[in-house]
Amino acid sequence: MKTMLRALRLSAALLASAAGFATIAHAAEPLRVGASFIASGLDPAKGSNGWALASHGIGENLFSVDKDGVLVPELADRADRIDTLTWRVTLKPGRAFSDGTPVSAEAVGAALTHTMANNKAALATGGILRFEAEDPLTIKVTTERPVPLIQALFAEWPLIVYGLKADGSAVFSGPYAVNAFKPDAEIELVANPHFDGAEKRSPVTYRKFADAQALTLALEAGELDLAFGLPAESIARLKNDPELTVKSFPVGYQYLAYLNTRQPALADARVRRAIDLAIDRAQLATAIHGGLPATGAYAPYFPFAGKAARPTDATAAAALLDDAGWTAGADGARQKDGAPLRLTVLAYPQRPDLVAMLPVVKAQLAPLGIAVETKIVENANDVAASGDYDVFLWAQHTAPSGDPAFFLNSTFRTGAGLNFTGYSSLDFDQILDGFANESDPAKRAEIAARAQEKLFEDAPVSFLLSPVWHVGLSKALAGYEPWGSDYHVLRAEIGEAN
Amino acid sequence: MLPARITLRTVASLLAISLVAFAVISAMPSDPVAIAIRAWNLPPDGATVAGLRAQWGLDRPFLERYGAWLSRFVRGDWGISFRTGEPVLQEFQQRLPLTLTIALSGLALAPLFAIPLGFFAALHPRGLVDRATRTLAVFVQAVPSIWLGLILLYVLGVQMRWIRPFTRDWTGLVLPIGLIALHSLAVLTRVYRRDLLEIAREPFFRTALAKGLGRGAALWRHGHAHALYAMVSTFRAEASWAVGSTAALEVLFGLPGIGQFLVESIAARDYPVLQAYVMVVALWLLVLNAGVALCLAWLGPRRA
Amino acid sequence: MKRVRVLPALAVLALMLVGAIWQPHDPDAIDLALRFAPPSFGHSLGTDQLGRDVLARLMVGGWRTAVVLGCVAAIGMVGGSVFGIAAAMLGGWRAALILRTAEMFIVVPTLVMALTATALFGLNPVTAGAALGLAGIGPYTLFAHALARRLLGEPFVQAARALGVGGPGLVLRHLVPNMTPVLFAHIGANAGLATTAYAALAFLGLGADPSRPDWGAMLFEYRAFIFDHPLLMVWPGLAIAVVAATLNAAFDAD
Repeated sequence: MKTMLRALRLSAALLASAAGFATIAHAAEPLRVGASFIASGLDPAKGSNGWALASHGIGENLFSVDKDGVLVPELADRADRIDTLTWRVTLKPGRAFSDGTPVSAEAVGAALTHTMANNKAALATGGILRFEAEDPLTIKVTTERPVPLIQALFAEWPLIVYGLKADGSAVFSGPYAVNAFKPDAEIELVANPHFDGAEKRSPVTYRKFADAQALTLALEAGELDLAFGLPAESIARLKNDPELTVKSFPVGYQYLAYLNTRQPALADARVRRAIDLAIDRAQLATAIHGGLPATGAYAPYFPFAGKAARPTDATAAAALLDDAGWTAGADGARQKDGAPLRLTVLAYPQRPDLVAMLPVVKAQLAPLGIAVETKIVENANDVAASGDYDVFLWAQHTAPSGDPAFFLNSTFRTGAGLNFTGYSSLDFDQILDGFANESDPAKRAEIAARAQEKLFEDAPVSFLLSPVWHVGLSKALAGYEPWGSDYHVLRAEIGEAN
Repeated sequence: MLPARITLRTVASLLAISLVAFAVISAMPSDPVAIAIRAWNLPPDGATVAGLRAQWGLDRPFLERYGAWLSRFVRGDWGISFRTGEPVLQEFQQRLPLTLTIALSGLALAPLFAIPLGFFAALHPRGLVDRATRTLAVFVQAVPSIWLGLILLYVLGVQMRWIRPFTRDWTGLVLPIGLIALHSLAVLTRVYRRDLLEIAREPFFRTALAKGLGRGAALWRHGHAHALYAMVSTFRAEASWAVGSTAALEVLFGLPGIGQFLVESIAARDYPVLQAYVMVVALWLLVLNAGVALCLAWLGPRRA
Repeated sequence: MKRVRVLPALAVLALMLVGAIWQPHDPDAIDLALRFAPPSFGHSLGTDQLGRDVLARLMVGGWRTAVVLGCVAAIGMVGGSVFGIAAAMLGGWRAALILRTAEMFIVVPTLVMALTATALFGLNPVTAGAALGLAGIGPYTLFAHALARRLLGEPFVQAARALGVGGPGLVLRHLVPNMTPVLFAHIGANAGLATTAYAALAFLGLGADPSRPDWGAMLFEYRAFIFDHPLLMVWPGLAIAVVAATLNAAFDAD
């Protein structure tokens, strides 16, 4: 009786799961990929889907950033400037979307117009763009604001290219096409028949793992061919596994600390510089098992990144604090006019490295006499925007489109959309204005260097680390080379062992 | 008469809960329009803000808003998720079956084993079964099921490869269902045993023994219904616990159920999803409650 | 006869309170040169991934865990008992209202309540304890009500009433003393549960603050090292188990 009931129970479970997980038989064994993130939907104009769709190898942009951090053509061939607000973009011939329709000037124009109308992030750099198809492979683009390097604009993730169908759905041109999609959970991908090399491309099952431990275990249990974003603590153990290969790579995300210039204690630049000098970045790197001390705002592999690691000098920091009027009492605690120097340092759990760094930062500021209270918030964007913090540990990709201007403009310009620190400096804004008319990448790098110098001086932000991420690979994908942070997890060439 | 009364109570409770939940969620400090604009990357101009406010009726009085939401809800329009932009009802329809499978299977397995184990524990106090079940009860209360899950994952899944916990068939569900069942089993066993022993202390039990009934038979004949009654009462609390545990296990095993969805929705302040989740779980627990009440009513007159 | 083994439980609680005032090392002091050190003379339980002394963190964590338990007990048990006794004494429609409200509390998922509260107010022992306590108030109310009703029917209570003992006197002198042992048994059984529920909240990604440890948060923090340095997770787990077991034994009758 018991056994029969139990059997019934199991069969019910089986049926339920079969109904829920109906899979379609594949000709080839699908490659299994796991990561901590996945697209929330297939509408490229909604939210940050554009970024996720490009990351999954489903969609492409007109221009893109390659593994060396250089802006290169992708769907477009070239872009020529006609005048301040007008450009001519020439598309590559012979490209088609996954349903066979050609990537034509008209299709691209219609899609990008749709995105512009529905997604605010697309408007950040050039305002509203207008598209006019001159012939099937040429588009005339009119920008609302002058844009010196439109290739960088088109490499931004909201401007993913797609074909807008009559029913409102979208088709894409990337190496993989969507076969089945469970939002927020799993995608089944097959090779896009209209993308070069489709015969050699195996189908891929891409799964989201919210828990890093589970991701590691799935890899170890032989259930994943590619595990993207492994926690640093497990790397040592995984490296000993003969079935697996672990590769680490530097990413464009930078770990930094926003210093809220609006808070009374931090309004004085000397206090902020003291904090910047007090932080021992090498120690932070040890604490999170990897990464290099930051050289400035950009990851070291970008051509415009700084060369010298940010300095650490506890004595100079103490001197700065004394200068600013914060004197150390007998117990070491700093005081000014009777008020102790107490700061709240925040981090968010979506980046576990930041959470790991919190206690280390606290311990590093303690000898300076600064009392630190730590707090974790999950709605980081809300809190940062409201300005309700002293120091905020943050992870940011500072050059997603291969150009240094975007981050500086959107985060540190007076009144900018992502200016969480309240930093406002006319000198700085003037340096940034130099970007508007400069198209030569070498000269833009120079402007970026000057801007960073100013940031080091005024210290509204402290650049902490250039982190390193890890991927785990089974024998089937041992040839996978990770690059492009998490913007290009799947692409045309993923090193399949064929 | 009883089923009708229970149904009425269920509906009334559901309405009350929906009102309270709506009130709490409306009172939350973050502005849903601001969240939606940021989450969906909409242009933050006056037209969009006004449009969203009108669509959600944010400027109308509380009761009117509640009424509007309620009427939409019962018609199946559960709103659009801030995070994914998809209709909430659809998300639930896709994810609920998996969660229910895990929770119900676990909860159903537990009493199956709890009754025999509890019986033996009561029959031989301080015997092996008694001490084992007591240890188990303390164990499941002290050790979080996630920790146990991690260890089992490693031992069974990685080292011994007995199960494949991340595959998309029923073997992937064995561990989560087992963990849920284990916890409920431990609790229900002890409750069943405790009530059996209570009966064993009653005078009429000694009378039964004196009349020549074996201890086991006497325990079963006089104690079982009573202990079952107690066990069924505890079932309500276990069901409530199972809701939370299933969510944690879904996150751990990467199962696309409603629990995992909820956790991410809370982080994103996804109010439509929160509201719907409260309603769905409340409904489920209320239905379970009603079932338990009916069960108890049927058992009631049979108690010793 | 019920045996109440109070001594171990008291000792455990005392230790938890001592931990708030004194620890062998500064629980926040990091020492990256001495990470994952095994138990030694200087560090009785070893050090964790940042070189912090595990014993010191455990002691500070004990106090915070006690706060969680205290909040849950205070709100859940005391609140529940008050409502339950009130319902039993008042009777009639007032009792029905209290009981229906209690049932409603049972039905609202603990998880959502706790997650929402902690999302709004941050995850710390007090908010989590309050949220978990509120979630537990329902069952306690019903339980206390059933107990109180049964007691009210007892002959000695009827006698007291006949003698003219009024409401509050009745409650304090007759009901409460007779209910306490059973209620405490319930609490004892749930002590470990509250701590692990808190650990589950931390696990669900609410981000327990690593520089303000409590046992549940330590479980969450150290689970990344479960396979390479399993001892780290054992200590807080053991601590929770010991507290749960002693409280259980102290108040559980058989």
